[in-house]
Amino acid sequence: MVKAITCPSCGGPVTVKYAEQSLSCVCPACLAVLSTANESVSILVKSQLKNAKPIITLGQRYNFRGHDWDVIGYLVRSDKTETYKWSEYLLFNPYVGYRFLVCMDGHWNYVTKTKSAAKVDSILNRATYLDKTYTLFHKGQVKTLFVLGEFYWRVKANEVVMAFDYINPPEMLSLEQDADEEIWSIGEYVPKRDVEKAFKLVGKMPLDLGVAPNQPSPHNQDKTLATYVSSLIALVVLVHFGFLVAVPKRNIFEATYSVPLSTSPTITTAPFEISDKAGYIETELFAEVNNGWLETTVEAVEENTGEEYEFDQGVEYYSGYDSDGSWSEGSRTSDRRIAKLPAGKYHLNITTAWSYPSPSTFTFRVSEGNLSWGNFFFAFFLLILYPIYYFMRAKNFEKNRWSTSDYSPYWSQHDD
Amino acid sequence: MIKGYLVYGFLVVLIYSYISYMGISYYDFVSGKSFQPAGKTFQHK
Repeated sequence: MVKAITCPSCGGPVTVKYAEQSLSCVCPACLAVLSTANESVSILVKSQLKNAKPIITLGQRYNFRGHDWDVIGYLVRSDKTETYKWSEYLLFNPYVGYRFLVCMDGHWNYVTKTKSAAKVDSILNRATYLDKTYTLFHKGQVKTLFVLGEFYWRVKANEVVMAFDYINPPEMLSLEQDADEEIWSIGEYVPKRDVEKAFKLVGKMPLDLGVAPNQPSPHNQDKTLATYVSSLIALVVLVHFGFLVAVPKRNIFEATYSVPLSTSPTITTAPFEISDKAGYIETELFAEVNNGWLETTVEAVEENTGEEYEFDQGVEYYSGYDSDGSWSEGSRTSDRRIAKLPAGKYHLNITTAWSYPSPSTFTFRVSEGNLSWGNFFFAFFLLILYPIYYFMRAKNFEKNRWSTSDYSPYWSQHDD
Repeated sequence: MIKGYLVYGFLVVLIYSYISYMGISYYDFVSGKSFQPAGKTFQHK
């Protein structure tokens, strides 16, 4: 029921839209806070020290979260030092009740009074409400700096209460207490576009700064990502060990030759078969070189097609004594990997070169069905790159969230 | 983004399977060794 009263401070007209519910209101002309609890209107606060302009028009009706809401009150509140300030809009629907729309640093919360008190664990700094646990984020005095509109309680500018905020994103459980009462409320983080659309605030929205205490993390798909990562790694392991089991390594050629000392030092080997097996072909060379080297140029010739594949392979080995004792470098064996060759019958043309004194013999071995562990670990590395980035971003988001809290679990950040 | 990772992951597994089958080794690229003398194949006369 709408009630018209006269401001006892300035004599101006004041309209109280919900006179039966409202216990106090503010004169729009002189900003005096008036008590409307009784028939006679009295002054609660004659003048307010601060002034502010709400971005949502008071007295207007908006549809939000499936209900029509009249915006009837506006408060500007702050911490004790007035460093952090925020706005609270009081919404009313006669069939639903009261709600608050709170805006701090451009982040919005839709707040409802709880029906019962939460259970507080002051040792673990937690509160439990409706089987949900919330972690303490902030504790401190809250001051009301400015009020406008009408309220269901005796609102006072410069009123100070003790406040506790517990979070479990996207929710925030809050307790406000003074000497007379304790009020619990639960807030839900609202995306700014929802508020912008519902309250017709296009072009008026404040910039959202930092991370709000109960802002849902955009990196909230940890479990899905963990499932994907573990499935993909399992797939790589399965493929790798599948190859190992299904295609075991097999020697297909091995022979020892005298090192030719003639002017035409090319050796043609006996033919051998290369199958269609998966994996790379490995060639191993062994020669008893001592303070010298042996180099080979190898042509693998497919006997039916005449196709040639050429590669070089060598060994070198040096040893001696100096003031530090014996030393050696190089190796008498070497191996080389060749990607899968077409299946067929091959022989090798091996041309040798050596340093004096030459080794008397060298051994050449060819195997197929070899699998690279380097590929396996590189695939593993590629698979975990994005999850590492994701979890670093997620942790950074949480660090930013807690950067304004005295109860941050990120101690290093907190200490800074 | 997460679904994009799944597609990327399957591609990694597919490419890994292919190069393992073909005997192409990541190690050879890193070490500078040639895994196959590419371009040096020719018809034997």
